[in-house]
Amino acid sequence: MSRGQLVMIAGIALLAAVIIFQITALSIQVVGHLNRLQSAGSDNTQWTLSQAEVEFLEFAHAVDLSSEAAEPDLDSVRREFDIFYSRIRTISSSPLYAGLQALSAFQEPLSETQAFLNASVERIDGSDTDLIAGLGALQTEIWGLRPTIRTLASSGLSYFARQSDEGRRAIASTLFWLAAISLLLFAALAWLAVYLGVINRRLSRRGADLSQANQRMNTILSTSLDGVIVSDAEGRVVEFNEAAETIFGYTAEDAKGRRIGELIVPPALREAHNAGIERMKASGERRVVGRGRVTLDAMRAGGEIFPVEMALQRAQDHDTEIVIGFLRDISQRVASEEELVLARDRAVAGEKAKADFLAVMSHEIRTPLNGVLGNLTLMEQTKLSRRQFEYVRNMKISGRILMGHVDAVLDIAKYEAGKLQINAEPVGLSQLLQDIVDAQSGAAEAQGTVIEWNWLGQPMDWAKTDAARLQQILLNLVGNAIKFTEQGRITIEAEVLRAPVQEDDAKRWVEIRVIDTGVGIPPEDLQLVFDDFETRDVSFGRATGGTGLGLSIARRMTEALGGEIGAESEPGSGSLFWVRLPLDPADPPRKDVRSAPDREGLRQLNVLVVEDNEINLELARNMLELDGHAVTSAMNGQSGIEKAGQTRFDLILMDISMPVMDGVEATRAIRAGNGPSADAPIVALSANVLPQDIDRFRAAGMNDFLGKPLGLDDLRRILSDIRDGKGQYVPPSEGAGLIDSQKLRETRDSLTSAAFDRLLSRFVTESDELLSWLNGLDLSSHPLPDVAERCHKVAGSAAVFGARDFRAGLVELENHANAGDTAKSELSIKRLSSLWPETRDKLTTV
Amino acid sequence: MFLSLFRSLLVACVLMGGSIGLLQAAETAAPDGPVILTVSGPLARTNAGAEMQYDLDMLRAMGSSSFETSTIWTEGTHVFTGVPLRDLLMDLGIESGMLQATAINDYTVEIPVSDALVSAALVAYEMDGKPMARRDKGPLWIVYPYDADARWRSEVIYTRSIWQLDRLQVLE
Repeated sequence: MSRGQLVMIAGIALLAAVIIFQITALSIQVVGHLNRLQSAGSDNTQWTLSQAEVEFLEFAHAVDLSSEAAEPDLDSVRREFDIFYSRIRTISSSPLYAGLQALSAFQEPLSETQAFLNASVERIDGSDTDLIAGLGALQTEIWGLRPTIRTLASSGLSYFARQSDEGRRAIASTLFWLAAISLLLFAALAWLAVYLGVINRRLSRRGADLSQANQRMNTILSTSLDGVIVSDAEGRVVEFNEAAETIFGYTAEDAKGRRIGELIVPPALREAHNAGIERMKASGERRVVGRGRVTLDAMRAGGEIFPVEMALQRAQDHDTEIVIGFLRDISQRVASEEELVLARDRAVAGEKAKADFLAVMSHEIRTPLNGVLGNLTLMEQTKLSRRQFEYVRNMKISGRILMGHVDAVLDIAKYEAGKLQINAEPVGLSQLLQDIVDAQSGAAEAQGTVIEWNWLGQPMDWAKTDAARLQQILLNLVGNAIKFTEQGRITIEAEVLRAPVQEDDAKRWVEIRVIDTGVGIPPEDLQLVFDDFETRDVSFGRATGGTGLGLSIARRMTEALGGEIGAESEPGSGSLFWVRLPLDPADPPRKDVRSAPDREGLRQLNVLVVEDNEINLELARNMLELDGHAVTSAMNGQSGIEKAGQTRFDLILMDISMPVMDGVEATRAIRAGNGPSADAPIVALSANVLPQDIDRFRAAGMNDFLGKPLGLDDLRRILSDIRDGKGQYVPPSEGAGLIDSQKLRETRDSLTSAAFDRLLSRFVTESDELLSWLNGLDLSSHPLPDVAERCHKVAGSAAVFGARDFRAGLVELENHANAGDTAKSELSIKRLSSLWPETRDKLTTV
Repeated sequence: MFLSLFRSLLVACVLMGGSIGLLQAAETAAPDGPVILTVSGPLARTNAGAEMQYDLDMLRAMGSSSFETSTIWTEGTHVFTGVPLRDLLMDLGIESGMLQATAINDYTVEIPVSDALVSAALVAYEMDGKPMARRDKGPLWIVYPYDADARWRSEVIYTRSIWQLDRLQVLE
């Protein structure tokens, strides 16, 4: 009931009390009136007054009779006098007439009458004779008194009439008020009854609503899919719905009244649960209650532990506190999540296995194929009949195609494995295009097709990009065009598009289009040409030797360079493939990159080839001997070390995968040793071209690496470097080896830019100090272990910033210093001194 | 009261001894002084024919009782002395019927005998120790102890408070 209603009812009760009080007072008054009427303090006053007149007349009559009679009856006169006297005395002395006596209309005749009586007493009480004699006079007096007596009676009567009127009026008024107030009370009570009726109806309606809501709530609870458990503040179960029964395996009857801790909390969590309840009771502190969804372990009736998602909320039930828990069995969900994670892990592992498998397979295919191709090259140099020469050339072509396929597969594998490295450097675009046209014109000519290239509009001769990747893209497109064009024309157009890649950026979109007049591509196939293993026509593809990977590789490469690729075609009249790349214009380097070495004037070098595969060993030996170099061979790392320990070699070609001792270990040993070839250039021979492998090679002290199959041109470049003196255990300075940009990027990404700058500048200072210390050092007097220790420290920092060559130099110096080799240490210091400024420049400009 | 009872018994014994078997009223001595009260009706005793007449001495001889009370007809309180009406009636063997009391001026009221036998009414002959004059509601006045009890203050009782009483008649 509301406060307002309570106040109203209290008000009505107060009003009723007041009314009842009034009624009581009035009733008492009425009873008083009635009592007065009943006990009648009045006697019959009117009668008494009339009686006075009657008795006066009786007295007068007696006097009259006596005065006329011969024998006057004096006794009668005296008696009547006494009676009248007594009456007047009563009237004058009785308190009943006290009020009346205040009235002059009454008082005056009364006094007159009393005067008469007093005057007459003497005569009445006198002797009979005197009385008889005075009868006449008395008669006269009596006659004189008659009007007075009349007045006395009538005035008294009118007074009492008036008084009884007043009394009646008073009673009437009292009764009126009693009736009025009773009516008021009745009205108030009637209104109260109506009001209480209304309230009652309202309450019963509210009760009905409440029970309906209750029923609804019960229905909701019983049909809820989540378990709902209500407990009191002590943790005793009050409610336990059907879903909770299903989840936990207790019936509601079993569960109610039991402690929730014993019921559904696993033994391991019970202590924490009880502590939580105590804490909540003691301080109201809640850690789980009201904190939204929480995932916890719960226990079923059978003791099985399973995960639940739970939300707890506190509520007030009358004056006790209750806790409502919504629980959801998520064991299925957790299980399926785990399954999903497992499936993903498996898939990832599968992908990795696939990529690894592809890489290994490629390696395993490339190595023997390398042998075949190398030997074919050597065979061409021998005396062959014309037919034999034809066969050899055909074999060589087939071999190269096979090698191309293997490379394509390897590229995709690498791309998918995320290992595709982009090395941006200034590239002469015009030269690159020219080279492609030169290289492909032979193949085109074979099809009777002309191939040419040109710039449209303003050329961009030099741009920063990955030349190898761009070359690969264009070769794929051009190769494709040649394949599908006979007796036609292939045009390569390059154009710098006007729109900048980004605002305020020197970068431009450069579009290179390869246009042919070939068979064209039907529109429905145009969508698919960049997909993996998509060949236009199986028979045609087979005839032209396509794997269907060329264009998909081109697409991947383009994407890796941040560009786009697409194709348009008119079946029967030709196709247009375009590549759009964001290119940064670059200045041409002062020196032409890797111009083909001049074979003339090459110094004859002493080369050690360490290779377990006899074919490859033979191939390398023959290639070297072709150029007039002296070749020593070793079949494994161990024998390689021995050979290097005996002779001073100008170059060591070191295979990586070998029995007994692999190339990396052998290199380390040679570098660490005191042999005459300890600082000889060592070049790795490997089909494994993954970046981390190269790092590993360099760390072991290798100067460079050559991919397998071993190509004569590559070999000659290395040899020419050595002839120029660059190969002396120093990696090519212009190569990407100076800074491992990936490592540097990783470091930068893992730090805030401020922290990166601070660390970098510390490293630069450290290195500057080290070098000036090293240069001012007299090694003969100074203990070398100090040098080793300081180098070791700085080498750690160098690794962090990807200063690959500088670090390798430091490691080398450390090794020499540890070995106590003063001469080699000095040599290393010299090398470091020349290496550092370049490294520092590169680091500080990134 | 005890005395009057004793006397009644004595009288009864005399009657029994004197005239055995007679149911008629016994003759009692006539009054010497002026008669102030005459009782008529079926009486156990008479002294003037079928009536019983009393003078003041006879009433006095019947013993007296008194009380002090105010009345609505007089000023102040007064001590009334007289014969209790009940004693008088019992003395005369009146046990039922209607008592008709009449005053000198012939004012008459009826008092049921049954009421009179249980009332405290007094046939007063003295007020404040003095006989009451005819001019002052004498010589006899039936008074009730009005102050003692509210039941003596009703109109009926006031009506029955007859003064200047001189006759009582018992009606069957």
